Amino acid sequence: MDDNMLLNLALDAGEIMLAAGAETHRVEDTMERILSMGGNNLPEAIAFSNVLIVSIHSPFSGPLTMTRKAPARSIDFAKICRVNDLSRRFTAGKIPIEEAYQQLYTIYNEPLFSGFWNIISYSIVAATFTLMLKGSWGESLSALLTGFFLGFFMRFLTKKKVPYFLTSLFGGGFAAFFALLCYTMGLSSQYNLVIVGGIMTLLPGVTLTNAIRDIMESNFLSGTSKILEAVLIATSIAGGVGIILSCYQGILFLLGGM
Amino acid sequence: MIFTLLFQIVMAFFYCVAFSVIFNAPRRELPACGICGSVSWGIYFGINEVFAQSVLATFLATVAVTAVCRHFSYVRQAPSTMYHIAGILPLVPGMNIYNAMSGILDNDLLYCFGQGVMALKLGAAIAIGSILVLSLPHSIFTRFLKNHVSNQ
Repeated sequence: MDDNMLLNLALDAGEIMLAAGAETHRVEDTMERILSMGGNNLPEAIAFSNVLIVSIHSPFSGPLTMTRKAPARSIDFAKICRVNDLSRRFTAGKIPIEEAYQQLYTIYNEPLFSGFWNIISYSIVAATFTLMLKGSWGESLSALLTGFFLGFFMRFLTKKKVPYFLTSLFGGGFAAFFALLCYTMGLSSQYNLVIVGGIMTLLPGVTLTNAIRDIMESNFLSGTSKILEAVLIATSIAGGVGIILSCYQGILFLLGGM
Repeated sequence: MIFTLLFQIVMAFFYCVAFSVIFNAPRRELPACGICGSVSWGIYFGINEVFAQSVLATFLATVAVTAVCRHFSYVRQAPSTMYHIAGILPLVPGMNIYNAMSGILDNDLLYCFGQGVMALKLGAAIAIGSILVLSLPHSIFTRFLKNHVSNQ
């Protein structure tokens, strides 16, 4: 088996999984399994929060190492599942390396859920979470509207490739703005639950869960950096909501003074 | 009470399915993700209503949902991360983070501190609950299932 091709296949698989939000242990495990298909070659695979290193000791061409920097992540469960499946079939010897390469390429270019369903899901998440916190139907309805427009806004921000910190800041501000708009128009009796429902889609639940799993598997470097990311995102969401809320209170104060 | 609990469980199901669509889960895994969310929120809500102990409720719900997600991962041969994330999502303390922030705005620092520490406690409960079940050996889940399959 061609060693260079094997290294490239392992790196590509690792890159797709890391970018899709898999935990570090799974990425390392998958890459090592793929590398071990090359026979008795002492495979090593290391993954950090955004770095991949693979190395084999080939009997023909000596030691070989390749490094790659992983791109920014966007959570995608389907890609994790399909790469996992592919590596399982490859290591079982069911498909040759050329075909595995082709399939990996197809997985990489696979489109996401259509925009329509994505936006609908944003509104459903906001509405159901407001109901789960014992909100009234009016609050749930205004959370539905907030989530709907928030979905549009987040898709726009993602398309423009805005940095993740600003995305959370603007997202939190946008959710607070729409919740206050619904409140002032008399759709809901209070705005707190509506804002909480809206920002649930932005909160770093996935990052937190993965950080816990990383630390448990003693990948402390990736784990702590993910926790830092989660804290930073939560702070920026709170900041975005806080800016809009204090503007609102300032306007109320101004109107009261007149 | 029972009606409220059922209503909450159904809402949690839709919540988790919608979240999984945002994270682009495969279509055939959507019901399983929803069930994970129902399990975690059902246990959390029930215990929190009866005993008014939200940290204990979060811990027990996390333990239950992590066991369920390892079970699903074995039965359906898919990465357990997907089910785990879907199950944890309703328990993320968004309400406390928001309350802490609004405490800062109102200059009510005592309230802010209390809510912030509460968010940290809930996060720690999620972490300990997950670690407890995730570090159990894999054979526990597979052995139970092998017996289950052979009995049929």
